[in-house]
Amino acid sequence: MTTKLFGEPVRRREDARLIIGAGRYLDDIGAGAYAAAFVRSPYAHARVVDIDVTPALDVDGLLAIYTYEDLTGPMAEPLPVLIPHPQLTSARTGYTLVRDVAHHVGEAVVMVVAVDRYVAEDAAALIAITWDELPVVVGVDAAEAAVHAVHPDVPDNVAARHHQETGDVEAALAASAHTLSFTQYIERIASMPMEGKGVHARWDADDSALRVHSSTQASTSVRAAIAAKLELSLEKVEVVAPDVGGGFGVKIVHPWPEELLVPMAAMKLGHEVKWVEDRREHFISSAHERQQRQEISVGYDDDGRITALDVLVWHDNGAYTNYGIIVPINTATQLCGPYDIPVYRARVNSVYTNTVLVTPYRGAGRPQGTFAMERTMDRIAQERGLDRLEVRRRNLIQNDQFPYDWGLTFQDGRPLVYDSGNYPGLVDKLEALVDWPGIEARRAEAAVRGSCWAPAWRCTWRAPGRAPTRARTWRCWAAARSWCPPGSPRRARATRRCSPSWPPPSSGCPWRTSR
Amino acid sequence: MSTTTERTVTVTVNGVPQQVSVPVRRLLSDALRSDLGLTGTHTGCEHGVCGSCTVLVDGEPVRSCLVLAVQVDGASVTTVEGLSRSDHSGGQVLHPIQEAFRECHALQCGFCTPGFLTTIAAGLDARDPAVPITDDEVEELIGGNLCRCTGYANIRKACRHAAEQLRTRAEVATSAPRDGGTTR
Repeated sequence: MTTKLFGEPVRRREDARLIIGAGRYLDDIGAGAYAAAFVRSPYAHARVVDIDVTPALDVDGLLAIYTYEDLTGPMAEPLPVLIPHPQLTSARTGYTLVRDVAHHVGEAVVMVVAVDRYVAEDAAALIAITWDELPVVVGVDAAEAAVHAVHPDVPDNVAARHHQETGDVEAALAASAHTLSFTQYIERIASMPMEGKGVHARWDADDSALRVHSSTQASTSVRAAIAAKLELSLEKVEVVAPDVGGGFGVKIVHPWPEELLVPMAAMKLGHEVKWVEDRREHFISSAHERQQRQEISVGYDDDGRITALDVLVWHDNGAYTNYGIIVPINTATQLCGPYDIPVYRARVNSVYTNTVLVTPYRGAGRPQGTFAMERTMDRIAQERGLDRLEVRRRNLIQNDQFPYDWGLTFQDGRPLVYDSGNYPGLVDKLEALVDWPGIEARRAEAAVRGSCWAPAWRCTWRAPGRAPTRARTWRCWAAARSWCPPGSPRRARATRRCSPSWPPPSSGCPWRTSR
Repeated sequence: MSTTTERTVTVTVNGVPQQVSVPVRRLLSDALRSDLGLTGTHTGCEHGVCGSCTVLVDGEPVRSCLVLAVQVDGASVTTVEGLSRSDHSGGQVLHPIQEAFRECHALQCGFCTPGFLTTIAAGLDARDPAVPITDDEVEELIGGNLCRCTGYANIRKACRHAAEQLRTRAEVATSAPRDGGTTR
């Protein structure tokens, strides 16, 4: 990076379009496309006894109805486990359309295609499904108790047991001057991009080629998934992410069933087909994040310095593990943040519940870890009668401790090593900026005004993304021209804003124009 | 009356008279997007909560996802595409709030932006530009719209920036009345 990229406003190229209503989001594409709508499970756990589509058949404008029975080849097989892990010993994924048993509310059972969305929903509403309800498992406590199982062949509901430690934590706790233990819960969060998911597909029968638009964060991999599932060669499938109205992690999961079913319908019907997720569908069927129960034990000395930390995380991964165990690994490996923890042990039990799948979302497991660490700091401060900031300051990794090798393995399989930093300097700066010594006086003033303040400290650490969003290739077309395709599609990350300045001059790449 | 019964709606959209035949149950948002091809209006929630689909009906902000197309028969509708105007040489002149959004980085993914722009434009155009805008007014202006990217700070900034632009223009117009009183 050059200093020219800092301290100067960079005009985003896309803004000129977006402020005049000339954006091109998923639903702005394919005006003449047929529309798909889905019949989804109203139950968290239930067996499909019968699907009666007869009442829907008389709807004017109906074009096709698909159930699991209509799927063949790879489409009839379970969805892939995107990121396998040796400790994910009981990975389970659903089907593109429910086969026999729905494992969460919102799981797609029937796809209806019609001339427009109004008609498609008319037909969908007339399809009668007979269900046999099954016992449900909701929440990590119920999953742990395992009175009922989400998947019959995983009777303890445990998808993965992840374990990392940097020493003998039990001995270190026993040797500590003081210890405290507590349990805390973190609730679920819905992803909620402003624009929901959506897929548009056009099949060119002459060329046997498929062109798909998806509101996704992972167009490259969606392409591979579609090719594999629909038995097409990769070069016959093109996937484009148009303007994306927010990713929020829910759009990095793939392939969503709709990303496979909509192209399948376009091929079968020989016509463009589009599905745009409405907000109700997003509420009931799209991915969540966060839910955990954390059992924390910490040892510390008289000065509040941590000597040992032991964390047991019960992580709710929902009904399926399409995205592997990235989220709880992030919790386990980034929990300690900028603090020097001499002996650390993290154990994660990632469990099934009859809820929508849990995927990365804004922090992807790290906020849960930060919450565990910061609540630990607050409790130590309370126990020792110390200022909350002072306890944190005493526990920070010091400048002469870099590189700081945790002895942990990060989610990318590589050792977790902090190369450099000045954490005490950062905290000093922040303390002055927020006037921490004067915070109690300001809180009292606020209370007089009827305003309730709850000042809190949060010192967090995270591995940043690779700028400017995982550029994989620089293609030098000519001496004065280069094109650097962003690996992840643009969404709320201002990729295009960065593009004019990338690759940086320091790369030595002769560039003038990029697009 | 069946849901598929069609009615002809006569409506002025962005200054252009239009006649469209739509099923009586069609939402205004769908009619604008599908029948008139004005895809700048976005539907984020389809139940009147997020404000993305806000358009102006006879100058007043309304949620186009909560209005049927037949309800705007005889009305004048302004969408985000109609906020800018052409100047004498055919160039595009943006509304000050459009310029301000760009200037203040008040958008990231841009999906909610059209709803903010129409709402704020209506609010700014309806107030006395000579009076400096207050923080409470800004809050009131944007309180009905959701954005998931920005945290709203830069949207507030854009409101104040646009209001300031309008105030300056009003002052210029007052001191030189023959130049006309346009606010754009």
